[in-house]
Amino acid sequence: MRVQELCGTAVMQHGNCAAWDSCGCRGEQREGGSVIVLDYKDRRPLYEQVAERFRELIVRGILLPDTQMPSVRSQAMELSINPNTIQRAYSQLEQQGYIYSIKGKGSFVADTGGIMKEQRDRWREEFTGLAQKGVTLGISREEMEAILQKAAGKPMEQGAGGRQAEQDADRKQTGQDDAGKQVEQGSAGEKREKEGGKDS
Amino acid sequence: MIKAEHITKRFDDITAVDQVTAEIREGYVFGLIGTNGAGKSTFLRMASGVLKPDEGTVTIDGQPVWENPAVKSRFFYISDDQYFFPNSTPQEMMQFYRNLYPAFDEKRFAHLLESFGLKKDRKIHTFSKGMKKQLSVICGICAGTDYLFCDETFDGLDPVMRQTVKSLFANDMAERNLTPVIASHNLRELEDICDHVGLLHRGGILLSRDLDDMKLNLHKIQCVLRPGMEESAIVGLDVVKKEQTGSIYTLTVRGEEQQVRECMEACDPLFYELIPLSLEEIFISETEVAGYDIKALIL
Repeated sequence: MRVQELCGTAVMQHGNCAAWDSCGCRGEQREGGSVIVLDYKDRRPLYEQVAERFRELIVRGILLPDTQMPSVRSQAMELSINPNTIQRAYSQLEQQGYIYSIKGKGSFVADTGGIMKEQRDRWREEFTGLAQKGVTLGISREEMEAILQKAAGKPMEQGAGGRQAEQDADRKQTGQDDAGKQVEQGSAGEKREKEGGKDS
Repeated sequence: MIKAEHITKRFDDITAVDQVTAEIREGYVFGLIGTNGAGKSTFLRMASGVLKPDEGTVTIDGQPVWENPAVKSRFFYISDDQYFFPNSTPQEMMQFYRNLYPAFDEKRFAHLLESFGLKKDRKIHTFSKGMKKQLSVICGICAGTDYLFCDETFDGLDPVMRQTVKSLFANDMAERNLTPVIASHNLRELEDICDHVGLLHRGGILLSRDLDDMKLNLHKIQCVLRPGMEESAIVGLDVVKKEQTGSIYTLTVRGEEQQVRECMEACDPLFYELIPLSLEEIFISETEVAGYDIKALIL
C-alpha cells in the first residue's frame, strides 16, 4: 500500500496495540492503519502537528483530490486524542484551502493546484535568493549541486504528487547525470534538514 | 455548562478550596491540574454534590447540584477511591447504576466488559486495582451522562488501557458530546487530551485557559548577549523567570510569539532562540511564581 510505503515510520502506531480489539468501536470496521502519527516529543500544539501531517500527505499526492478525509471521530479514536483537536486541524486545513467540507458528508481533499503554484512561486523566489547568497559566500557550483542531488533523492519528490516537483527539479538540474550516485548518501543529512526545518 | 462560583470548602482549620470560580463548557475536555493537596479532589467532590460548599454554589445549566437528583443524573463521578458494594459483581453494579441513570447502555456495558476481559459475574473484590479502575470507567462511559468526572482515573491504568480509555472518550465526545473533566497531575496525559486547563494551587485557581492559548502565551528564550551588553538592555518583555549560566540567559516570558520576537530583534543579542514550553514546564513556572518551588527548598 502506497501510504504505508511512504510513511513507513509514521504508520502503525496502533499496529502492535491490542487496544483496537477492545476499544469500544462496537464492531465497526477499522480502515487500514493510522494514516498519520504524532510525535509526542514535538512541542507544538497537537492540532498543528495533525494539520501538518495531512498537508504533507495532500501535497505529496498521497491523498488525492476529492478523497474523503477520515471522520473526526474515527481519527480521534485512532490517535486517542481529543476530537476537538482534530476538528481544529481540519478547520485550519479548510481555511488554507487543502480540504473542503460538505455538510452532512464530511471533509474532502481539495484540488491544491492553486496553492501549490503559489508555494512553488514563493519557493523559486526564496531559492533564487539563497543561491545568490551562496555565490557571494563562495560556495562552489559542485557543492550546490550536491545539495540539490540530496534533496532530489528524497522519497517525497518521488511520490505521485511530485509530478510538478520533478519538472521543477529537471529545470534546476540540467546537465547532471550522476543523480543516482548521491541519493544514498543523502538520507542522514536529509533528516537533519527536515528537523531543522521543523524548528523554524 | 458547569459553573462554580466562589466556592470555598474548609475542613476544620484547613481551607481546601478557597473562592474558586470556574466554568466548564460542554463538549470540551476540562483538565484540572494542581500541586499535591491543591484541592482538586475536593473541587470535584463539590462539583458532584458529594460535599456541600461552605460558601458559593455549583450549578449545571443554572440548576444547583447539591441535593438535586435530576441534575446529578447528568454526570458520573469516578472517584479516586471507587466504591463497590461489598461482595458485588460487575453485573450487580450495572443493575444498580441502571436504576440511577436512565440512559445506561446495557448492551455496550456487556460488550466493553467482554472486550476488556472482565468477567461480569466475578466478585469485584477479587479484581486488581487496575481492573477496578477499568470497571468504573466502563460504568461511567455506559451511564450515558453529559459529564464524566474522573479523579486520577488514568493513574493505575497501563499504557494500552490509557490509550483505549482515551479512544473511548474521543468516541463519546464526537458521538454524543460527552464532557470529560479530568483531575490529574500527570501532565503528559492531560496535554494530549485537554482543551481547557484549570490550574489549582493551595486551594485557589491560578489560571484557567485554553491549553493552546497557554502554550502560545508563554515562551522560553535562550539568548547570548553581545559582550558589554547588560541584561537590562532587554526591554519590553514580561519576564516571569530568569536564569543565567555563564553568558547564556534563559528567560521565561509571557506574550505572543511575534511580539517576543520583535523585542528580541530590537535589542539585538548575539544569539537567541525561542523554545516552546511543555505543559509540565508551564505548570512548574506558574506554580513557582505562586511560591511553589520545592527544588529551592531541598537544594
